[in-house]
Amino acid sequence: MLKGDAKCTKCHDEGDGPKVLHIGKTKHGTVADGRTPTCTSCHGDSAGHIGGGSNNRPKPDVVFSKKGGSNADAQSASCVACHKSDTKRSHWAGSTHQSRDVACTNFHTLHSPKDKVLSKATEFEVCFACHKDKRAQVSRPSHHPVLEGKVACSDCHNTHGSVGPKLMKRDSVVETCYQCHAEKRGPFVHNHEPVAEDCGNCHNPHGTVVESMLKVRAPFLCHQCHTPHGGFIPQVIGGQVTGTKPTTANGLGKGTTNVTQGRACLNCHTEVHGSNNPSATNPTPQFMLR
Amino acid sequence: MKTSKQKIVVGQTILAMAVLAAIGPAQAQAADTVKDLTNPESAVTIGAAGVSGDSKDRAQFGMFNGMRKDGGYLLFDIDYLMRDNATGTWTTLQGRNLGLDNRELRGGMQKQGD
Repeated sequence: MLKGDAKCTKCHDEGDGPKVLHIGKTKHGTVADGRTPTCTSCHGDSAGHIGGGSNNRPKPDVVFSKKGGSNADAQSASCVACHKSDTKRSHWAGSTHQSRDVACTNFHTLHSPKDKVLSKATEFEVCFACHKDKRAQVSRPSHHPVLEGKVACSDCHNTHGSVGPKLMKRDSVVETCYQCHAEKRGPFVHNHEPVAEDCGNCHNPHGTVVESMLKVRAPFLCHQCHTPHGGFIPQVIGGQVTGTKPTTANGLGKGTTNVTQGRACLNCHTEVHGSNNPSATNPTPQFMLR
Repeated sequence: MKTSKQKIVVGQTILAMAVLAAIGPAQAQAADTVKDLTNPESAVTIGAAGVSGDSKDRAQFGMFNGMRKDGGYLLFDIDYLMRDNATGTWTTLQGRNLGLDNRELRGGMQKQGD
């Protein structure tokens, strides 16, 4: 399999954990590329470990373990030594995971033929081991199908580091969302500014209890920025409206319908991501009407 | 003496054959074991599933898993991996939920180091 490893396999075999020979099933298990690492490429020369006696034998130079292993940067250095030039991993240094002492081997299992984090169906198991709040969110009724194996964390995030916020795969949140939701990109004749700013203003992409992964149900979501009008919302004003032209703070707008219906604001303002309505007057296009 | 020497030669041959007969299969078995342990494996998973009851009670259940309607479903996954050790080329074919509406099939060729 790998050359120069006999000094290791003299003692270590399939009885060890992790199983030593199983690395032969992995991408590192063939030497067609001369740069393929050997045992000592990753674990260090470990002269003391190899030449030590049976009692109090020192550990190898680099030990890959969450508890009692080498420090995170030393563990990752073995991987980064070869993989730093990959475009997807070039921002590892200084990234959130690197700076918080997370090592490559906290994600990846090198001696296993099945690396959980490399399969869309099982990747979330690795991420949710730490990000438990996200596990709860994707379990909510409205969610991206992460648990169903159709969307992976890595479809949006680059865990190896990125130049965008929240380890986004692209340079911004919106650019990452536009990879799939291209119809929200525009350009539109009339823009809704929060859409171009951050989809997370209204949506929680991991999951919510409101349809379309909205953070709050309409009209209350819209009312966080906009003054209510038209619809009668007792939760907002705490009283009843009388007459066809309300004079309360809740009824000073254009509408005269005093009942909030169905999806509230979205019944009329259907184009909340941006409108291409060419009309300049009726219906008033800048209000995100169709 | 000559006869005796021939007997000895024959004896060595028989001895060697006996040793080979005893150890050879064991060595071959060990080689097979190492080969099994160090080469990528392929797998096919086949199963069946049945869905019944009122679909309104399981609207979330059928949203992404391809099992919206009542009836029987084939669960069929495939993982085909082949590695050419001479060139370091991996040929892969992965199929998920091939018996369902949300089936996925992807294949690829990757070369080590590229």
